[in-house]
Amino acid sequence: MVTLPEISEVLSAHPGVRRAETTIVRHDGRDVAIAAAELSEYVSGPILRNHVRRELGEDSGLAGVLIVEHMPMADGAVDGECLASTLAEAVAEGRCILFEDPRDEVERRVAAIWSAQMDVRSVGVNDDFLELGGDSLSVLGIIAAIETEFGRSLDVYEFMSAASVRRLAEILR
Amino acid sequence: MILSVRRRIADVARAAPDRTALVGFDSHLTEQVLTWREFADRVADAAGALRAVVDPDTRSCVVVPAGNTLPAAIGIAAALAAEVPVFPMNPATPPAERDALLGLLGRRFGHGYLMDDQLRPQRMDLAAGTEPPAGAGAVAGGPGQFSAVAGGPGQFGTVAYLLATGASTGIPKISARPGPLRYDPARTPSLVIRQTGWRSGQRQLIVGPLYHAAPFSAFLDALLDSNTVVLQSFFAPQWTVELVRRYAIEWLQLTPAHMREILRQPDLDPAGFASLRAMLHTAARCDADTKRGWIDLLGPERVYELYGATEGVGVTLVRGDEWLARPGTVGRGFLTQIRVLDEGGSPVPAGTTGTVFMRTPQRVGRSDYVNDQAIRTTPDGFATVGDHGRLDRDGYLYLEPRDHETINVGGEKVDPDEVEAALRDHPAVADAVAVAVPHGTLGSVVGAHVVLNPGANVRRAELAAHCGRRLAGYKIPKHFTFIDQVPRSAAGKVQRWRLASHHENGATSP
Repeated sequence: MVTLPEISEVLSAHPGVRRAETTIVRHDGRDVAIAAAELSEYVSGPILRNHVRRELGEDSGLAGVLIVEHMPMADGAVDGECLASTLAEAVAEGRCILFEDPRDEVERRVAAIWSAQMDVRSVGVNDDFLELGGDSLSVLGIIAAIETEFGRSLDVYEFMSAASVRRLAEILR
Repeated sequence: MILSVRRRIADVARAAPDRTALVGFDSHLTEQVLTWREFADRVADAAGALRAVVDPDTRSCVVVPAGNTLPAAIGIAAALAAEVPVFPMNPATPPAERDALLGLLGRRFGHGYLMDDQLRPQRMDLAAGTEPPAGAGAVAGGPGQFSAVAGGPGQFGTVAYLLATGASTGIPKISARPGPLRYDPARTPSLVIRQTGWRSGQRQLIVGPLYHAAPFSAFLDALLDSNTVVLQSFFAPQWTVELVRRYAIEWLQLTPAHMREILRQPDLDPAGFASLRAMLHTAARCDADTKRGWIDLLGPERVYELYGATEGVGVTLVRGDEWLARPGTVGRGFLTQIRVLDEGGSPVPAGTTGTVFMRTPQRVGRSDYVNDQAIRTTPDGFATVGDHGRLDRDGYLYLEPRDHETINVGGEKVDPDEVEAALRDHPAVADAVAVAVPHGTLGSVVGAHVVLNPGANVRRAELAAHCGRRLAGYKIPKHFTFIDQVPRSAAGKVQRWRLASHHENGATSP
């Protein structure tokens, strides 16, 4: 079992991260592990989350990473209580996207296309395309693969408006 | 399959040696045509000459006087092929500004070469450029003066090209694009440009000058995507119309100022534009009358507008039909997320005005932050060049006038565009610019610089009355100055600072 400090340690070792802290947040009736990261240069939450999953395994349990401007401090140490409430609030308001597996076949197929075209192992169904590292090349690849697999042609705008596996799957259903 | 510029030009020339690469005009307006084979040979010769003189151990750049001529086009292509950083310069740059620009280059490059009109590189003294003149000196030391568009820590080691920016403020700046330039069939041209009716191998007319960012990048894309390029050597609206018709031009990029002047041509025939797949406009805000005029002329599906900062923060795109449904919008983000934030950095709801921040994938996960003081960033990767605007519920962006353009009349904000549009509505008026004129109690009032149609005559009082029928009292110009032409930058942006100095020189008449 991966511990919270191990997650924080892996995150802190990322070149873009100045410091990171992981905590447990209650969301939708379950406990989820969420990290806060203060950056020295911009890296997206989903990319950092995937970094941890790559280093510590897909089952490391980290559901999301929130980028914060400053880690809340108290007496020279991270203020855990303040951090937990910041994270809980961000999760509740949808500012911190949590990793979620596909819930049906369409989502599973769309996520597999994203994963292959973007060369990203873990694609959460709510992850934002650009935050996950998508670019103009992967847009074209995904659109072409969806046309092949679903027989449905998409234009770039339609794709960009959807921006997540879940919303794209809704268009395709 | 990613190729060097040299290799790509050779490949295109081999595949279609007799197809036209370039059409230009000499000073007698005689047509000059180069096939792809001829063009590739000339580029190879000039690139060879450049490589022969450049000292590999000294950081060097080449300056190409970039009028829209065949030698300029060949010179730029040769520098890119030789992988020597190229600075396309306005050949008509006033000496003081030229010295300032060369001085900026001299800070980064040990050796400079000037490509002469015979395409022979001549050593030039960058240090002679010395320091920028007074006025520019105040910010001369700031990184904003010489910014990397997306350069890494060793950003000046490999530069593909350099462009002068800041033309509308009057303070010379140069931005560097990391290099070397490469041809990547999946990325050339960029996806956003491919959304605007662009076709590989198309016939393109370049109207704006090659030393400006938008025409320059359109030229690079054309070069790498085997276009036939027609170079209009100077802007005359009836000539643009004629060139589109004569060469069956398929793709055209214009500024709002070009668009306005073309619309003013009598007997404009939509049939003359039948070959055009798209007209893309960029660079400056377009007034609604001009936009509608072009939508009427071409139909909404062929009119595209791109809003994007030169610094590469992000872009929005809007097609004519979307614009008709939402007049005034600059469109939705294209591979760009947009956030409108208040002064405290919190997101504002749809419909509320704030500072426009954008984020693009090019910046995500990269270590090379844009090194420019003019750009503000958020911890989560959004950046702004300071434009204000609002988003509607569907994510369409509407821009407000830039702060420095808004005229503050005793606390009331006046959008110069609105005043200018009202003035242009008068039958005697060809063009107009509204500026702030200092005022003892109100801080400033609106002043108008007006260009009359040839042979037209109008009294100032009549213009004021005309505005009074269209504008609220505080927006009516209190000073009118008649001028021969509106000073515009190469990008078509009004150079208000040139008009402001007019006032200081007492050229204004109440």
